[in-house]
Amino acid sequence: MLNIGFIGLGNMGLPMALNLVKAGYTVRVFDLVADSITQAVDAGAVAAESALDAAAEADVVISMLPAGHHVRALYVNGDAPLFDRMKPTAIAIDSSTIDAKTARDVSEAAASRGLAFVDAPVSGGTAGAAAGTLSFLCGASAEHFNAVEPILSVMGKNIFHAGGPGAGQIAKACNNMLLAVLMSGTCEALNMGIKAGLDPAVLSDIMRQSSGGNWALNVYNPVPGVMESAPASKGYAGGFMTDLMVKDLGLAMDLSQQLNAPVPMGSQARALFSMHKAKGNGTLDFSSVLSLYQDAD
Amino acid sequence: MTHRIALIGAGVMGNAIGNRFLETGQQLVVFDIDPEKVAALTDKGATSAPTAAGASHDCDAVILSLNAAAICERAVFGDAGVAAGAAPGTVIIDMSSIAPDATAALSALANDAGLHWVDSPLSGGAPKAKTGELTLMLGGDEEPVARARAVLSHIATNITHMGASGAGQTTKLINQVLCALGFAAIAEATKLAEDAGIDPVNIPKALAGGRADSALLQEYMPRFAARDYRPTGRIDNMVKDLSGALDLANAQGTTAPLTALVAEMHKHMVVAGYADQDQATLMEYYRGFPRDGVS
Repeated sequence: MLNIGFIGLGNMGLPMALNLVKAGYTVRVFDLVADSITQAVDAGAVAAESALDAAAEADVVISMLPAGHHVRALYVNGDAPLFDRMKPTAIAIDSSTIDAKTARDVSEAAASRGLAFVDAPVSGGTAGAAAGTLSFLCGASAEHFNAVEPILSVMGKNIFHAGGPGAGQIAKACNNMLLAVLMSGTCEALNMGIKAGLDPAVLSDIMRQSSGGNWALNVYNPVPGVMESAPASKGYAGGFMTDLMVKDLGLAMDLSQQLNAPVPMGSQARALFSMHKAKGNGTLDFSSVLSLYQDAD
Repeated sequence: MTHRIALIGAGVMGNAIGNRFLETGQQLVVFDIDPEKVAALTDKGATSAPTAAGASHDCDAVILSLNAAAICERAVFGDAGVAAGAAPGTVIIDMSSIAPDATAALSALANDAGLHWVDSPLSGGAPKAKTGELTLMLGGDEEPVARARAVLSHIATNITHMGASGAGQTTKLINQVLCALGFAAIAEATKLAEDAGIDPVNIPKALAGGRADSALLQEYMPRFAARDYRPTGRIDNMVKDLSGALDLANAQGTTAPLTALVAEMHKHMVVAGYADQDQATLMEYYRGFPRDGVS
């Protein structure tokens, strides 16, 4: 059985690592937060002293970090770059959501040392991570994609090969920009109908079965009480934080600038979500952007 | 007082700035990697140097007129750059438009090398440089800013010290936001008037002295109305400037929906083939970019 090194045990990383443990892999884990390591060890993982210690003897290294510069430092130019010490046959999988350029740069750095690197950001949130039903959006050669697919299948349900290096991050940026547009559009349509006196549940049901149906409306309804399982019905706790949506929209806007791809809807969505964040709602689920449309009390 | 000035970069702006210095009797030493651009100024009385270091000996100030932060860095701190030739304490005046955070980094490097960095982006373009009427926004420490001001008084009539290093560049981004949003507002109003059967040519006169009056209205509504697309600026430069403004907004957490929307309008124009056109072609945005080109 393969040895796995797992670096970054946050809200997403920890449940992902635990699914690998459950499947019987030896998983050496590292995080800067000692308590996260303890939680993983209690579930059967092995504690590592450092990222390097987690990765040095691993066949597969998986990272789940906050931003591009963390990923670059971990593998390429930090104090103890993993690419200098990984086994020559090892494969690195980065599931962080970062910019495509950094993903491509790190992939090139890996290739120049004869190592393999796959960008594999995820969709599906903390619930998907816990249930092992994440979607992985992979950027890599066909050979490297085929090599990592079995491991990713332990943590996810849909494993996509988006294209070459960086393609996974591009797909993620496209998807989350669309999600932001759909959520803000859903909020403004619902709010207008509710303000005109319609019942939110009735209006939601009508649009869900009409041409306005979309993921934000159908399975993640932003109005409290319409959908019991949605974050809106749990005080907008859990789910996908506004802070993270703002971060992802920043990545999408950077990409649109590099490409000169017009994104008028995406840029308005960013303005709305950054306003929502500025009002102090950064840690609430992103569907709480509904409050921006509602009358002040 | 006569100043001895090194000019690094003799493009359209550098040429206009250099000409004005020569006309006011200053001593000018020019360096550019393009010999033709150097010749355009030596023909008018400037001397030239084979390197930026050579140009920077014994000068009251070194002026940079370049396109990007990476080029500024190479010109000053690269091989045979300004830092290799300038005397300790020399003021480097950067008239390029680059990012505020890049400026702060270059300023720190200059301090380490015993030099001073003053950011001095401009408004008014080559026409105002030629007449010595530029508007300049300065960032840096008091003492070098005072020395820079003495040199820059030959080419500018409105010089304002905005704050610490980078503050001039930040002010320039704010200027670009005001210009771009103003251009778009006036283009949209021009089209609204036309479609309503009001001749937009009469609007600047009708609104003169009112709340909506502005230099932009007086200059641009007639140009929009006449589809006067003479080159005075470029759409793709505006995309770059607005991207810089949005980066700043995003880094600070400033909500900027209008800047975002107008940036996207300009990106639409680039995609439609207007990258190198004047901002007056914003009128074509309101016609849906007809495939037969500008009207």
